[in-house]
Amino acid sequence: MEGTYDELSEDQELQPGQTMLKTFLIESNVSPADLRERVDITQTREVDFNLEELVIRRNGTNYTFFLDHEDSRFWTLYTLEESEDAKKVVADMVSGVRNGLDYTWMPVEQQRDVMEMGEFRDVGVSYDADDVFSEDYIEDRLAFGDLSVRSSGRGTGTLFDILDSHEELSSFLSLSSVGIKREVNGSFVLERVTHNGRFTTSGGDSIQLHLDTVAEIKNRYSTLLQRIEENHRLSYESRDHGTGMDGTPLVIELDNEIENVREFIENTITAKNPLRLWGAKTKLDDQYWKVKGIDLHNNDKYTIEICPEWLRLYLGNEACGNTALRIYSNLQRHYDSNATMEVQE
Amino acid sequence: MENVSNHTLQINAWIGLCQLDRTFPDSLRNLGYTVDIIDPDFVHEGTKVNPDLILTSRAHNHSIVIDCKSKTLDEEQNEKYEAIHHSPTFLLTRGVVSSAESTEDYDAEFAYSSFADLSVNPFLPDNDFAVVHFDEDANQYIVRTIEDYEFNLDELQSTFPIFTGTRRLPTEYYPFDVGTNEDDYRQFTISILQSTVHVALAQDTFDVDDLLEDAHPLWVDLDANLKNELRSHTKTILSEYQQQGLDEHIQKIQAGSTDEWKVVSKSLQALQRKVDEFVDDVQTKLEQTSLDDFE
Repeated sequence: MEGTYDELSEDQELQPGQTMLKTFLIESNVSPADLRERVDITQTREVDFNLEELVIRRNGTNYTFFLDHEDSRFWTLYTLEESEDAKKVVADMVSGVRNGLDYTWMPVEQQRDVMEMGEFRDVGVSYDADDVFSEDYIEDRLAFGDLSVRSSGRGTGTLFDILDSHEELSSFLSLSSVGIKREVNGSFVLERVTHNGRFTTSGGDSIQLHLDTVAEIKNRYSTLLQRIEENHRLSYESRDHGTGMDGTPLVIELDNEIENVREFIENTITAKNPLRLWGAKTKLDDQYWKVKGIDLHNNDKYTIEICPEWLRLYLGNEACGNTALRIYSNLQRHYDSNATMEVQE
Repeated sequence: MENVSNHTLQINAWIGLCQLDRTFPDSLRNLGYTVDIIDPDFVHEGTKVNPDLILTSRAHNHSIVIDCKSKTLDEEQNEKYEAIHHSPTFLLTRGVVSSAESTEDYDAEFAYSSFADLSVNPFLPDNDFAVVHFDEDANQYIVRTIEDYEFNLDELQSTFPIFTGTRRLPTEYYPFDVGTNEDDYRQFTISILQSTVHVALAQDTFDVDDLLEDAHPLWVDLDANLKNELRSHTKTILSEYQQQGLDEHIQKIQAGSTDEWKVVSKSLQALQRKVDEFVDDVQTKLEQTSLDDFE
């Protein structure tokens, strides 16, 4: 880390062999000890209370990460490993059925909030419908199969505003990353933050400012998750003379209306990445269907009622709020970036 | 709507009116009503009473006791509900209602609710409790009290008619009703299938009661006869599950004197591909199940 922060400055090229600091924000429902079941940890060293150095072996190669689990619900993983390698190690951690770990799936609204945290520097737009929908569905129903735009420099903000204001394009402007220069009290840091909680620090003079930036974004995400779990899980309580009920569903409203709901469900509820939703569907009317199933990441039950204009998402009493955010942010990323979900405060 | 009984739809609609949900009106929530109790079961003047739900507004210290009907009414049932309508405070003193204040101004009213127009029903008593009609037009349901049968609480009465603005009612607050005249077999089958995957991923072995406890939100409070009926239905579902080759996911094992199942594969993509056909077949089998099968 020293090499990164001492030698990098604004807009400076990295020296050969140098790698940028990557920070991964992971949503966790398990203990650090459980991590051994997900990945091959060959060496552990306690650096400080709640901070461990982990050497993780993948395909015969060792990778070094630092795990900060002071916040038991949101772990922070730091590494200076190559980007692609680091992503694969983390993907191994969060993949798998019912493993209790997940990415932090930031909705577009929170990514736009990140833009406001500093001077807007770069943006990645990556609408990947082809990751979810079949070729036939894309050809018949969608304007784009994939749409990628990456821009940096002074014109980025203007370009993004132009694209965003274009009615026919705005539903497809799915943010994959946002880059900012953040300056506080004379210190600065250059951060790129992805939709799934990966921070790449390409420059700066204050590690504390990087940590503060991660903490602030984590707090916003954590607050959203907490509000979902407090207000949007259905619970049933046995009483002396019957059953009490509490909670209300979440509604996701779509800008890009669904042309054929049955086909949409058949493309999205496939038990495959990225949504990883298993389920069984019922027709309620021609364009109103119900799906009951399981989120394979953490084995939580969900029910979705879906029509062309909206989805109504019901979560069970003990469901992880991250299920809702994964469904919502992936719908934004792979189908309709203008989708909105109101969460009660 | 298809594949959900009118009885289930009504219960969901009443609950939905108490929730904040952009896709459905929150008329009763605006008056402070919350879902106090679903499927209440109590004794009044020596008679067992079992309406479908009670909604209570703490703000108005008022409860609505609702029985969702099809077309049929029963004189004996009318008398039971009329008695509750005229002596509501026992709901508080017996602890049936828990969301109201135990003060003198507490009131509760009974209401029949139906998709049918009960005003023409010969068994509708000549009394003063509310009768609510879920009236369908091309674009929505209009929830209205029928003439001469109105709520006593003015603020409540003035919320009617409620224009839902949609025919797409919520269906999951009370997801299925099996064991009545209007059975939601498809919803039940899917709920059990969902629980089969859910429970199988959470524990190595499981039995029928594990599935029902997971699938039925009111399982603990159901009476013994209904529990037996649902156990029988669930065994039919699991039996079909095995016959259709879905045993690549779970397998039946014999554990002592009872049947249990265990997980043999956590891959669910194959199961996903077969699930629609499976649900169709099971629904047919459940509808053909005779009462003798679980007595």
